[in-house]
Amino acid sequence: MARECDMHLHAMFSGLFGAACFAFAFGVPNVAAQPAPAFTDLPQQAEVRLAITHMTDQGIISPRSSAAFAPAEVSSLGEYLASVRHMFNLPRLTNLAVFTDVPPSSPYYDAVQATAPYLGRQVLCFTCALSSNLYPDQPITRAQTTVALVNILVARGTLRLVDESHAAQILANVSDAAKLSPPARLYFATAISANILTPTPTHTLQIAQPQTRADLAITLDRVQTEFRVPQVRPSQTPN
Amino acid sequence: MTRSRWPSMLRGTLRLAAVACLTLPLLFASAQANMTPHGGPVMVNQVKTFLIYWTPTGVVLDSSVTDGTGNFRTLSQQFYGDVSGSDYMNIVTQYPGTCSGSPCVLSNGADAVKNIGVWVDTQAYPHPGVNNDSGTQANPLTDADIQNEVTRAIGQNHWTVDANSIFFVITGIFSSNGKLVEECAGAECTFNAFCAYHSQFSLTFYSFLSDASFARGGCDEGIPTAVNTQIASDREVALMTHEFMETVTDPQTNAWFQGNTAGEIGDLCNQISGELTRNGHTYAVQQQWSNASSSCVSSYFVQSTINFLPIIELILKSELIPSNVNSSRKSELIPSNVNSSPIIEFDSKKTWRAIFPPPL
Repeated sequence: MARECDMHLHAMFSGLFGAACFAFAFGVPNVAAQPAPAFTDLPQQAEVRLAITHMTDQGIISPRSSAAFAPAEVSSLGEYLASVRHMFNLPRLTNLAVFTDVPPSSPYYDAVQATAPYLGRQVLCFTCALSSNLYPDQPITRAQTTVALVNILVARGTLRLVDESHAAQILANVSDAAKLSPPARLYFATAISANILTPTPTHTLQIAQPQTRADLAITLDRVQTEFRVPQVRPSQTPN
Repeated sequence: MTRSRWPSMLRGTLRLAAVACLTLPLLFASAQANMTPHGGPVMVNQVKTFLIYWTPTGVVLDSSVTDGTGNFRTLSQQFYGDVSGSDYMNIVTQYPGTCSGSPCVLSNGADAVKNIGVWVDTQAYPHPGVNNDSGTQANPLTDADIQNEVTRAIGQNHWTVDANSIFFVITGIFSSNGKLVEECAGAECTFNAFCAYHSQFSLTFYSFLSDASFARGGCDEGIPTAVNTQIASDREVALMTHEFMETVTDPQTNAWFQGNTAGEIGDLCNQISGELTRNGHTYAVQQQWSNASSSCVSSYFVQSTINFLPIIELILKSELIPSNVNSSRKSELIPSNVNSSPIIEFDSKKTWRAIFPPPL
């Protein structure tokens, strides 16, 4: 039922209908009561417009204004973590993570405290002595979005990391996979196999590529749908 | 006769009463998982370090001292003269690897580590661009630049490279504005991720160290006060110990790291400082992960417990080479729980060696 409803969504492109359809399919609170913002800057592709509507309807990604979403704008790590925290309704850490540049006064503090266990910084920079700064205002990369999502889904028990041999098969035709560290290979292979990450048409990962707000909307919408992540209300506060 | 060859760490003189048991009680076990071996090699004696200070005109190591350097260079060089045989260096003896198909581990003797070369390179940073801003955040150095610098240093100084050589490339800060020399390794940079890293190319092992001055970028290694009058120098040594110990235990990134997080020996204790005092010198160091205690430590002691011996090796000096092993002497030397017959070896120095295979 959910899958059928989702296909209707993509075909018909309606934010209000989309939210109602999700609510019906998943038995979650109906968030379609929220009026859909009329953004004037959305791209033409229906799939992108729909994903953005899904994300803004639920408050997962905040628009820049009532009329502008800024889909082409590069998103920051802090913004992304706030989105992920809201979408997965992640609780705050019991033992607080300490980042020099994310003090309690930071707008990203709560999001960072909730998502810190899933960041996988060491996976992305395997041989690095990592800074105690998080740099929340820096652009978010494909690598960062991928590793965090994989970690969260693994923790939720809805995804399992592939093993070395499976990873080798998945990455065999990905030209820039050779640059990945051994543990990172497992993450990116898992993400590809789970449709979280799609290699480029030229068969590369481009893990350093900054992600736009539209990119994030597409990725998060896809994950929410594929992994049956319940819808959330815009004002929902994590536990 | 086919002779058994034992790991070099177990060779020495009269070790009957002092062979290591590598299984310290897990008195301080924490919830964090230990590092696991992944089959690759580790570095063994003698680990040779080379320090390359890449400081073109306008770049200094520490702008808080009048000459821009102070004890920055001398402290890092002196460290490698002191660390051999220390309880700090002993930490890595917990982590054996596989070298050319055989077990291998560092033997932490007096010359386990030695600094072989130092080079202060004042050549300008590459790719200055139209703004002549190489090394800035707008035009950072790259990992390829660091590799090229290592290659250049080896060529210029006629240094020899082997599997136990580590080349450290240390950049600085711009004296004009106090900003850090920035570098990127792929998507990760000094301005969005790291303070330092280690890597390899063509089995040349190297490490890039950003300047830890004034905790720029959160790279203070958790060191609030100077132990050698110059905080930047102390922090840089601590940052270096992170990469140094990781390179020894995981030079090709396929030996020792924690499977869950990919953290190496230093990563699991990142930004946690400790102290090492050796030969009258005190250093701020970064703590390292000890599998024995499942915790971060600044020292590691090997406990002698005969009951846990996997093998026993005896080497006795003698003026006369015995024609055979005297039975009473043998019983005196052999622990009661060892029942196997010894293999006797002789060498040209009138030394005989009785090797007892492990009990079945």
